[in-house]
Amino acid sequence: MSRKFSSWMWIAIVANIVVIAMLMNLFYIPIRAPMGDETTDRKPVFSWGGLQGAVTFMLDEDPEFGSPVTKEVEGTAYTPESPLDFGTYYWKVVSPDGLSSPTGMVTVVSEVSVSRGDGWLKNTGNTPISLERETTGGLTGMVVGINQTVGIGNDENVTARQA
Amino acid sequence: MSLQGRHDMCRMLVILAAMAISLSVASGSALAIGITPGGTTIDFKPGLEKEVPFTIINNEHKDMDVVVYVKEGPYSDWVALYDTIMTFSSDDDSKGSKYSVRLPQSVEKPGTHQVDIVAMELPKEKEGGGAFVGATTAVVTQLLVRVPYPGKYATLDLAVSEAQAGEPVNFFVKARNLGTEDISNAKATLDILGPTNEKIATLESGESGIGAKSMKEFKLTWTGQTNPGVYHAVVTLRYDGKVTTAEKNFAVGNLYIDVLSIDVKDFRLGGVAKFNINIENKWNDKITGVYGNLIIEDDNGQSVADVKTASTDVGALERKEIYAYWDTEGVKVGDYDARFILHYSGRTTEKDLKTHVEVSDIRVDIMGLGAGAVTVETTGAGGTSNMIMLLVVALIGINAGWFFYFRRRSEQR
Repeated sequence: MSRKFSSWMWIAIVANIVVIAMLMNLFYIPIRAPMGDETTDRKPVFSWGGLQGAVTFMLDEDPEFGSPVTKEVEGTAYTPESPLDFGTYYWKVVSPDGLSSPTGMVTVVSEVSVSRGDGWLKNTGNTPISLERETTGGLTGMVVGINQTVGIGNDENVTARQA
Repeated sequence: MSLQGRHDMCRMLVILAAMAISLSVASGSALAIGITPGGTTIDFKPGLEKEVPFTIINNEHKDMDVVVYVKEGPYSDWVALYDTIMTFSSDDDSKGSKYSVRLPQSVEKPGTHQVDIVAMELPKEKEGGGAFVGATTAVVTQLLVRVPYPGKYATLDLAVSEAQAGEPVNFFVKARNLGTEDISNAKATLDILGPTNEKIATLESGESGIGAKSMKEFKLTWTGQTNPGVYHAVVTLRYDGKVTTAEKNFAVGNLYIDVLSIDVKDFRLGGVAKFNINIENKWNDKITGVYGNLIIEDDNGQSVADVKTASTDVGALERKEIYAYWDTEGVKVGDYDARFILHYSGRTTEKDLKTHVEVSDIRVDIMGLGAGAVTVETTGAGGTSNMIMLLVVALIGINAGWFFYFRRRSEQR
C-alpha cells in the first residue's frame, strides 16, 4: 500500500468517524448535567446534547415520570422559571418523534446561611429562615426571606433555621 | 472519646464560648456562616440507626472556628455528633461532618419531632484589641423524625406550575399518608377562585389508594380560558371518610397594561393637541396609579414635548382612555419621533411612535402595530434531521469515491 494511499485512508477514516458521531447525535440524546448531583441552586441548568432541535423537557419527583412538569424547549438547555422545591428530581428530554434521553437526577438541598455586620443580618441561603433573636429582654422570632436584610442589635445572639 | 463524651464536651465549649466570647460584630467586619442541608427528614422505624451528613459553609472565606452542638430538647439524645469543633482557614469553602441518629423502639407521640444541630461561629479575636460586643451567630440543620399517626392520616401539599395566559395550568397535589394504615380510596378536588372569591372551575382527580407512610401525587390540569391575574386554589382530599384541605394563591401570566391606540382629534397647529390614549388592563385585578409619559423629539433628537397624563386606576380587564396634552405653539409641520411610556405597579409599557403634524391634523402611528405580520419559520427536528442525513450520504459517497479511486491507482502501479 502506497504512502499516499495510506494518508487518504486516514482522511477517510476520520471522515467516517465524524459521520458516525453525527449519526449518534441524531439518534441519541446524551444528557450532560445535572446527573445525580446534589445542589443548593434552586434553578439548576439542565443541559443535554443531540441534534434534535425542539424537545420536550420533563421533570418529575417520580423516576417513572407519573406526573411530570413538561416544557417545550428549543436548544439544549433549560433553566426552571421558578425555584424548585427541595427534594430529588428526575429529568429527561424527548424529541418530537419520541426519541428519549437517558434519565438524569438532581437533588436540591436547602442551605441556611447568614451574613452579619454592624447592626444588620442578611439571609444569604436559598430558603427563608426563622431567626431566633436572644437579647437581655428575652427571645423573639422572625422570618427572613431569601436575600432579605434585617436590622439587629450587635449584642443579640441569633440562631437561624429553615423556616 | 465516645460520641456522648464529645457531646458533653461540646456543651461545655458552648457555655465557655458564650461566657468568654469576644466577637467583632460591632467593628463592622461581617460574620458569615452557612449549613446545608437545612433539614433532613426521616420516617420513624423502631431502633433505626443512621448517619446523616451535613456541610458547614465558610461563605466569606475567612479563618474561623465553629462549635457544633445538639440543642437541648425532648429528643436531643437521639443524636450524637462526630465533630464538635471545626476549624476553617480562608482557603476552605466548606467542611463536611455528620451525626449519628439512634431512634428508640417506640415513640408515644405521633407527628414530626425535631432535633436541632447547631453550628455557631466563633470568630478569631480582633487583632490589636479594641471594643468587642459579645454576640453569637448560629445556623441550624434540623433532624425531622416523622412518627406515624395511628390509623389513617393524610397531609396535603399543593404546587402550581407557572403558565402564561391561555396556557394550561398544572396543579400537583401531594397527598402523604402519615398514618399506620393504608388509605384505600383517596380523591382530590380542586376549586379555582377568582379575585372576588367567585368559583371559576372545579377539577377532580381519579381515585387512588395511598399506602401507609407513602405519598401519592395527583396532577390536575386547568385548561380553561385563563386570563392573566392572581387566582386562589383550594384543594380537598377525601379519603376513607376523612377530609383534609390545602390552599394557595397562584398567578397566571404577568401584570400588563397594553397601549391599544393613540389619536388626536380636532387639532389646529399652534393650539393644544389632545392625545387620546387607549389602554387595556390585561390583569384580572384593578391596577392603581397608572399614568403615561409622552416624549416627542425633533429631527435632531431634541425633546420638543415631555408631558404626563393624569394618574388613574384601571379596573380588571378594563379598557380606558387617558389623555396627554401638547402645546404646539411654535411647532412646525412635519414628522416627529415620539415615545409613550405607561407606568404602573413598578412596571412600564413602552411604545415608539411616528407623529406626523399637519396644520389641522396630527396622525400618530404606533410602531409595530399594523405594520404587517411577520412570519418566522422555525426549523424543527425534521429540518435538522434531513440536512444531516444529506450530509451523511454525501460524506459516505465522497469517502467511498476516494477509497476506490486510490485503491485502483495503487493497483495500477
